[in-house]
Amino acid sequence: MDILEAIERVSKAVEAVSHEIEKLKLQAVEAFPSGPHPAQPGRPEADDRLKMLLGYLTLSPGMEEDELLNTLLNCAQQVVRAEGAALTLYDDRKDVLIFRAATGVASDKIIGWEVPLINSQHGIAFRMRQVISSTPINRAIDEVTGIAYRNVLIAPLVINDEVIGTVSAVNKITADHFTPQDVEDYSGFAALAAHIIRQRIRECNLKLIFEGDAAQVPLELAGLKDLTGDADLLEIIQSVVAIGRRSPEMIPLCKQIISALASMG
Amino acid sequence: MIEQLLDREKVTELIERGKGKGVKVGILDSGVDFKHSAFADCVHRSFEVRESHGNLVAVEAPGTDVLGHGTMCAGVIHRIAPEAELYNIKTLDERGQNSPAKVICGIQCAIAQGLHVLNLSLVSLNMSRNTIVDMLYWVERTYYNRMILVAATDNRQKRGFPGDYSSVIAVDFQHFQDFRSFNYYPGKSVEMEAKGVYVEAPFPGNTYVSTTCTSIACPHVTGLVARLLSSMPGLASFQVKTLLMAARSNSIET
Repeated sequence: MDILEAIERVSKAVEAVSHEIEKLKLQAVEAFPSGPHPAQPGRPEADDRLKMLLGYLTLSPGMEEDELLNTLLNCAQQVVRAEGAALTLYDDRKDVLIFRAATGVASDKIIGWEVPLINSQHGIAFRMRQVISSTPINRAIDEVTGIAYRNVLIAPLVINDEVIGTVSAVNKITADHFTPQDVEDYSGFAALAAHIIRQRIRECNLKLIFEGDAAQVPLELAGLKDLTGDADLLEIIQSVVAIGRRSPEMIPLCKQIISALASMG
Repeated sequence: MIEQLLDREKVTELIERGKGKGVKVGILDSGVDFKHSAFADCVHRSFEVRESHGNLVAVEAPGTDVLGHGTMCAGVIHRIAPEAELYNIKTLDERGQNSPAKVICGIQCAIAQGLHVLNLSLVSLNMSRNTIVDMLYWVERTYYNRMILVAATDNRQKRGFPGDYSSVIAVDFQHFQDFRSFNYYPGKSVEMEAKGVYVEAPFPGNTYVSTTCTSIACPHVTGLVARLLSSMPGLASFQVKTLLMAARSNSIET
């Protein structure tokens, strides 16, 4: 997909979501004129929390996960003229980076593959929070894919001073190596990509919470513990879950909001 | 123009002559794999910053590299200043976690060991005001102990600590063929650009990688400083900067 076409599509989707959110806000105010429970000192009232949630969801690109990640990785590939691109996310329990999405050469073989942080270029980019270009990429990855990659460019995905993973490009097409300009450009691209991916993680967790069994919610929330910068979001989710438990009649409205957003794009 | 008072050829000769003899160079990083064949003839010691009873302490220990980053940096320094004594000060723990407090503890260790140059291929963009002040205190102590601090800068934002402290030499990367080539920008927060593109460096497992990043440019300047200090011991930070400015590759607009 052409980058401009993708950006235009995302832009239109965001615009559509914004209009819809305005309508939903009006519905929400009508549904909760004064909040379902007495407000506690120093804490936002329930309808304020819902407004915060709606505000957060306004950022949603309104695209399906696979499509969003593919678009993102196509951009990651094209911005530095590479043969392939990949996304890893950090797994705190295993202390590894896991390939979550990839595009280009042998991309299907590396999804789900775990990259150790010790003595790997991905580990350096992740731990040192630095964009790094290297040759060779990693012998173990070469073995998994059956391809001897010439070079790799890796950038950390940093959100609110928290590293959540990496985005990388392999095999520079127009030169033997990635250039200093590529390193600089990728740093900027990774900053943008990090926000999009974090947003996607948030949405996935929200959907799990609203669509899953209430008993599973605490487990699903565990997935957000890595994102300390998401303290506000976590509080909102916990509040929504608490509201849902105390006032089950509100769950349909929350589900309606989520499904309305999910159906867009 | 102060540059006109300096003899570029003499400074270049000082850099050429020095091989690092008598100079103690610290690498505050992820550890160093001194078993790598690249360090076969290297004199070295290793320390680790550890937590003990709620406090951070630096103790003499193997300092095994947990990432590969420190080995790459140490390899570049050893290649440029092969006679320098290398001090591996490992601040990253087994989970690869670092913090400004550990960096400060590492700097304290460097002062205690009487190091002359300290390589910090790391950058922190979001330190609190209190932490900036705490670290500044120890950076000032290095200045008065005639220790030269060389730090990498951030790829994109071109800033960050400890490189932003005025006495520290902050380094960005540039495409130079030779380690002797570098740009100098007096008065800028990032004062130097050094070789940092396609740099061959040792990596744990007795292998080598070719790397492009600011982290790998930083040890090039550290190596140059070690060469200068071995030719002319006892220079202070501002004197080293002045000599480097005289030997720069770029022209400075007036």
